[in-house]
Amino acid sequence: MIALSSVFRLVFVCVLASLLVACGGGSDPASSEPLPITVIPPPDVSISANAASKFLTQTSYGPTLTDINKLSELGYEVWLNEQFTLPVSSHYDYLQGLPEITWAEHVKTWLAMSVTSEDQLRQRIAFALSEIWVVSHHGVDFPSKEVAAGALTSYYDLLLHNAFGNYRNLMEELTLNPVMGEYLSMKGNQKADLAKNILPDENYAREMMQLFTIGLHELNMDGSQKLDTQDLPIPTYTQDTIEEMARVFTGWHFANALSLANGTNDVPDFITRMAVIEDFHDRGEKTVLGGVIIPAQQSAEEDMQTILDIVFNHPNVAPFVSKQLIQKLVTSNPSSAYIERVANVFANNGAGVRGDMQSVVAAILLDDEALTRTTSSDKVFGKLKEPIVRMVGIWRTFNASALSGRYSLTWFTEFMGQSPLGAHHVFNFFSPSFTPQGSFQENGWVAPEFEIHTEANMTKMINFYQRMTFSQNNIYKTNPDTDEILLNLTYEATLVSNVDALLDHYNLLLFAGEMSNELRTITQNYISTLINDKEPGRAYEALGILVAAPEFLVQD
Amino acid sequence: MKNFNRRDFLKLGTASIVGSGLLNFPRMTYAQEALGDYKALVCVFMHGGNDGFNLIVPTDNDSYAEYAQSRQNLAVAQNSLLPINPLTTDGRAFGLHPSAAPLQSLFADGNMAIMGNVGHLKQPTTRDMILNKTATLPTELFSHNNQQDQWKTVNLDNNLLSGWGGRIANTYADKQAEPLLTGISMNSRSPWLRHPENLDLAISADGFDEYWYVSKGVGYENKRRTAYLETIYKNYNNAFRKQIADTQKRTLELVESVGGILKATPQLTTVFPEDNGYGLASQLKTVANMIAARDALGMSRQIFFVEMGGFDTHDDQNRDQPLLFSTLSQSLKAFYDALVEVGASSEVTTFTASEFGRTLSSNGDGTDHAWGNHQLVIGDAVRGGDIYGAMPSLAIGGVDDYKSRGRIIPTSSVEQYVQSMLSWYGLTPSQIQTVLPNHAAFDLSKINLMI
Repeated sequence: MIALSSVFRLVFVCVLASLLVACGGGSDPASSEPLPITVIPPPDVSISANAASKFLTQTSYGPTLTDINKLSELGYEVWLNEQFTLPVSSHYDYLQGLPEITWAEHVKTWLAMSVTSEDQLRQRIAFALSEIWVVSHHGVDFPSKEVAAGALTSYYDLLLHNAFGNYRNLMEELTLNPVMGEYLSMKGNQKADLAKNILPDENYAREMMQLFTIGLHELNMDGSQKLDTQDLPIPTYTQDTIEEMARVFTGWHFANALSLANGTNDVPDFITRMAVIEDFHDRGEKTVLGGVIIPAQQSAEEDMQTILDIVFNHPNVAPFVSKQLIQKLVTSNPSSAYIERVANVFANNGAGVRGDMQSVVAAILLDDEALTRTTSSDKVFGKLKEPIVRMVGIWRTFNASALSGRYSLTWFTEFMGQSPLGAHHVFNFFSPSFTPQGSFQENGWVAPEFEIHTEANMTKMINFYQRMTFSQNNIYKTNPDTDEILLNLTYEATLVSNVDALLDHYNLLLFAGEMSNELRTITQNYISTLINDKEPGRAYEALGILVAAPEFLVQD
Repeated sequence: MKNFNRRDFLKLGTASIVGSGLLNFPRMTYAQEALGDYKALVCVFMHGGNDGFNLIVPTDNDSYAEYAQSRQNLAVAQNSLLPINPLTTDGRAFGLHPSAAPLQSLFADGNMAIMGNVGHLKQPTTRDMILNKTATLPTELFSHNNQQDQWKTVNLDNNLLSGWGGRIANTYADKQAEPLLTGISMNSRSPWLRHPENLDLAISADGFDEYWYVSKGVGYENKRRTAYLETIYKNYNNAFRKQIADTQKRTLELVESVGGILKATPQLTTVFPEDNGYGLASQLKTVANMIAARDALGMSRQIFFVEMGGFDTHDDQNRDQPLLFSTLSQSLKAFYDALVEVGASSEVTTFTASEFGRTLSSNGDGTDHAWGNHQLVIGDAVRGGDIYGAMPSLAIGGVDDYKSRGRIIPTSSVEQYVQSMLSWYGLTPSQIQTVLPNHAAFDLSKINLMI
């Protein structure tokens, strides 16, 4: 039971039930459903296995032979359309099927779904969104591991469900999600009480604009900053804007706040959309983003819908979101033209709909720059893979599983510099503008993922990837513990007496056919000189060298 | 090697540290230029924006009443504050948060100074200038990451090409046995340590891990190691591959050279407190270990960056602040004690920083992003037991309030806060001007908190 308090944030006085305005059935702002992409397959859609493998590196956690074959036959568009229509592999539903909830179960759930689910593209987009709309288990005090697991998988499900939906709907569902409410303290935000020197909390107003939607400076559609007459960037908002918008985001609390307050329930509802206690909402007139005036006497729900519409329609949202998604999936330094092409689709999917994520995702992946992997001459194409995307990719590609059927592992989070819904602050694991020293700084290129490839993490990552491959596979480990996640290298073991065939196989799966001759020679020499040619261990010895090689750590 | 310039160093550093033998080969050359003594600066950055106004609180009745009126239910009880007796006084009395007892003893023993109300400024700034819109203000005030970056870089145009720690390191990197060990973060990459001509390191509170599968071994293991080395020493044209290969090479070299030296250094007997999930004590312990090994490593000047998060107390401030302050205080005290143990307490100066302070007004149970903030400076070379700078009025809408939320305008700048530490460290006035490009905007001689 949370102590009663006259302060709304700490839970409230027992407000009359009539003050509670139900809002669960709020209007549906994204009423225009995204149009399904009409696909007219060209006469010959088949693509090479290598091209398919490369595409799957961008669109799944890791290529498998099955996926490569399927994509090769279907072609990009049909395969994408299938991904768009596959049912959501819900993390919350998976959780419900578990016999018991253990510590950090949302992480184990994320592993299971990321490695095995069919809706790989949706899972990748959700993960990318989780690094923009950041919440974290560091920073939310859940009353129990069960509540934490339910809350965090539910939050992730919102990302999954909206991955191909409309960004306006995503904004609303995440803004009113209680985990977000707790993380960025909009939950319990109350109107001013000057006698107590209480003023509305600015946290959500600030971070939602700065990080989730529009950013700090006005942007052109190609992602570049607009400049004023003195060539200075133009701020999108001022401190006054933040203070006014903080007033908009007042009055919301846990859906079961009243029962928490009156003692009939002592577990906050971390899943259901937050509810309004109208008495704590600031009903005054507010001058918000873009100087728009929200009239007085609007309800908390009306204010919410108004402000979400205003922010969603800010011109920055299209380039701001488009560029970050390109960076997470395809390339760290997209050309201006690429950003603009995608941002234009965000602004209008061709049927007059703004924020249609399905069209945006297709525009990102089917752009010439993504498919040809060539960019403007002032940029460098490619990106450093994210540590846990790499890790899950190895497991997926080599069909890793444990006897228990679970993916019950959490200590990797200490080795990777990142974990699902585990950032240490709302700025994510790394900044989209991080620039490493050396040629990147000299050329003005960014390489966000390098921010967490510190000297400390480098050793840990290499140790972990090599443990996965050298020790945790079904050849080396013949009597594993029930929860040990082992690569299945049964097929690879059949190739060991033919090193060329083995390396061709790895080349397709790990390098999309582009393994350098030197790396091939290094690996070949190593396994040829070391172990007799019938030794199945050659399969994992080769793999352990390949997954630690710079060529694999990068996606280009 | 006299004409070896740092530009070359960077090229070497990113191309092949091991291949050039830079970590080993130049050691003797540089030893000739050795500075003859050891000094280190340790920056303890409190991410999220520490609430310094609840760490150091006025205790005389009038000033406390002003504080309590502003802070309301977030005020620390007057009778719980730990008294301190500064050498000089502006007429007001101050005390520390009850969870900061270790700081009380550091202050009483003359080993800690308090820097009052410091923050990032473009120029000396008053409330009138802000109200009249005549002040040149830092951009993106009250935004976490921007204010962190600005604090760490203090560059006139907000560029992130170098931080002021990186500029200090750059002054010394080519005079040391191990240039790479000049600027080290104990956790994340920090813009504070950055410089275009030097690499900065980000290691962990664990120090240097060993490789599990590619360490030097026997027979078969060595062949595996050879294969791994061949993949990372291969030439790469692609910028991403080259950058990650360089990081892999640098890491392996460090692990195997420095890691071994650290392992051979005797264990500290000073007991560090629990991390409580914040990591500060572990990071400081590893810094103390590295300082203990300063002679073995051949270092004469180092700067370290350690960090603690959790200070963004929008919620539950009264619940969370005691643990934040006790963790901070106990860790700082243990670090000082460890430096005494290894005979480096007069060679190392530790100072705190944070992107901003917090509003004096509340949002019910927490506070919001603000500006000026109190900081701590610890070490035997510090003129301790005193408060430096001007302590502000804590009145809402008072002379030091940005507007009317109790966002206190800094009365000293970052430049003024740190200049005497830089001077102690050995930088000349012109080098200090390079490290602090906006020096001309402030009277740097105003604060001298070093002996």
